[in-house]
Amino acid sequence: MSVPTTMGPETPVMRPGTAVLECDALTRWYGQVIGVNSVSCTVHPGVTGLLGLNGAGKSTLFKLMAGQLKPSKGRVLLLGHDLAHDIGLYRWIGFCPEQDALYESMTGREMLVYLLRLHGLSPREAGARAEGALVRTHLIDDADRPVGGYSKGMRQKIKLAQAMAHDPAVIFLDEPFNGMDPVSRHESMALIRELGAEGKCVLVSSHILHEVEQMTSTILLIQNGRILAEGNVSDIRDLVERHPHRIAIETDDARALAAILIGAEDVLGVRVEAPTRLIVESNHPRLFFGRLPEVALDGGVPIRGYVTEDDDLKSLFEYLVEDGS
Amino acid sequence: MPIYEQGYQRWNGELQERPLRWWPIVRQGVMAYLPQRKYLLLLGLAWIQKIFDGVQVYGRLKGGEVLEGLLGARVDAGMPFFWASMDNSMIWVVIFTIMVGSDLIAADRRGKALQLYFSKPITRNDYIVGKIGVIATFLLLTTWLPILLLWLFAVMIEPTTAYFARVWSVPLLMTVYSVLLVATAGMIMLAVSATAQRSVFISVTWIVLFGYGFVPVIELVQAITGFEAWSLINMAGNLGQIGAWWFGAETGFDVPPVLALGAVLVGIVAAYWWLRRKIEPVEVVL
Repeated sequence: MSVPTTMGPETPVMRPGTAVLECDALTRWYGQVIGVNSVSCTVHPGVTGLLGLNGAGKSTLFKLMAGQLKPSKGRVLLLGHDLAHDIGLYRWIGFCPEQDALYESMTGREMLVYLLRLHGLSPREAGARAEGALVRTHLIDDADRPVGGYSKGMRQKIKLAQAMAHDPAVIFLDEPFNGMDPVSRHESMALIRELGAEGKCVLVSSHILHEVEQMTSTILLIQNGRILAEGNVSDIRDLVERHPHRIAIETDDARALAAILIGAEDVLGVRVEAPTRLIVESNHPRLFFGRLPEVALDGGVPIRGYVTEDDDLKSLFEYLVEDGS
Repeated sequence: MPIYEQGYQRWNGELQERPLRWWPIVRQGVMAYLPQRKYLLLLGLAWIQKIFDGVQVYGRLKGGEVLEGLLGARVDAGMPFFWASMDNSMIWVVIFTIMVGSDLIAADRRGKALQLYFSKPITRNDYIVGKIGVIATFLLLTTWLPILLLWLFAVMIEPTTAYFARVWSVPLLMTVYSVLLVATAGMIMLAVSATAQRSVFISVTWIVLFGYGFVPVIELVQAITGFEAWSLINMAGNLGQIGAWWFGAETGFDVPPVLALGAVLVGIVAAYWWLRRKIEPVEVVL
């Protein structure tokens, strides 16, 4: 990580040997309830997914990291400097809130220019940067329409545009794909990957694992206000694979298929739920899925369909909690 | 290991200096209202009032003897005249503070825009100065500026040392008074706008807090208790007291003007303190 050198008049130079963003024992209480509990983590350039179930503390952690909320304890270091003590550091932050925070009567372009002016950019510079951001978010054709008439997906995009338009070092995107149609979602994911490749720290919060996987392999898992795991998605997946997965199989003869599968090494157990429905527990689901068609063909038992019952974020968290304990 | 391009280092733009960060907020706020026909109409009416004052100035300075003969009383365009012109403008202070100010922060809170403001390198003070700047623009356009032009007109048509010696301090006093007026009316309005969300409720609360709603109550309490100092909670009354004191006009209450000034300053500080507490990027409800 090299040092930003072309800073504005009020931004300090990054301290050597420090991360772009670092949380140090970050804690936030809401009265008697703890929202984020002593979170320490480091965020490096590239895209990082912040994953957690609803209510896990993702938004609170995001707001603490972005300086929107004051921590009850701990601190956030941006470029090696305490965010609480230097307002100039906000020049390096881009924040896309989960909720709509828009001026309905302004056009998309006007809103971007206004928000860029708050960064201290001249009207001309703000205009040029707004144009660039509108092009990158595919909103240029609707730039001069009032935001009030934007669809949900366009509103998400304009929030994304304002978060990146001033060329920040760290971009926080809180559930950025909510309400987006598939095309917008695809475009926005591509843009987020690009921003990560440009060397920005992009933090994307989501409660949908596969959504995050499409942008990055680096994730932070949060549950009950604490970081449950951090690292690579494949590491987490390997961890998860030590736990049995439940796979529901629809077949013409569940008992016959059970008899074939029970002897396999990757199958820990089978249960006939109905004459045509079989539940299999496997500790190597990928291996199991790979050879299932062959088994079915060799055994002469037709398989109508199968679904992994617990291949979702909730199960992932359950496994990790069990593993941690 | 990935090698990152470090794209953000390419930015070489010049940033505006810190003290001017509030300016875009003022500009945006003013431009949201100013082009609207009803605001232009009201500004026009406020200026028509000052044109009448200009006619009066001319009449008083150039046809004083004729007027005195007609009215049977002494007419003058001295310090109290300029104060009277300011005092008559209070109606515009009320109208514009309510119309412009009631939604200034409430709309940001309703639209959750405070999150966006405070993800930028601006402080709460920048935000407050920006918002009060919007109110100040309209109030100064209807009070300070036309009265200053009125003064200029007066010294131009009466270019004598004697007259100038009597009214030279008008621009200075009017400027200081206008700052006090804007700070009081604006800060109280912003404090209310940061607390409630409905414009009607905000407007009524501001009227009560600023003083107009209190006048009958104060007079009643004064009559019952025989204690004049109750008027200190009437900010508009206090401002009137201060203005009359500075411009050598008759004061409305028996309360010493110094106390009135103290009460106004306490009101401004209290409103600012409340405002600072209420402005948070994220509202936490416990």
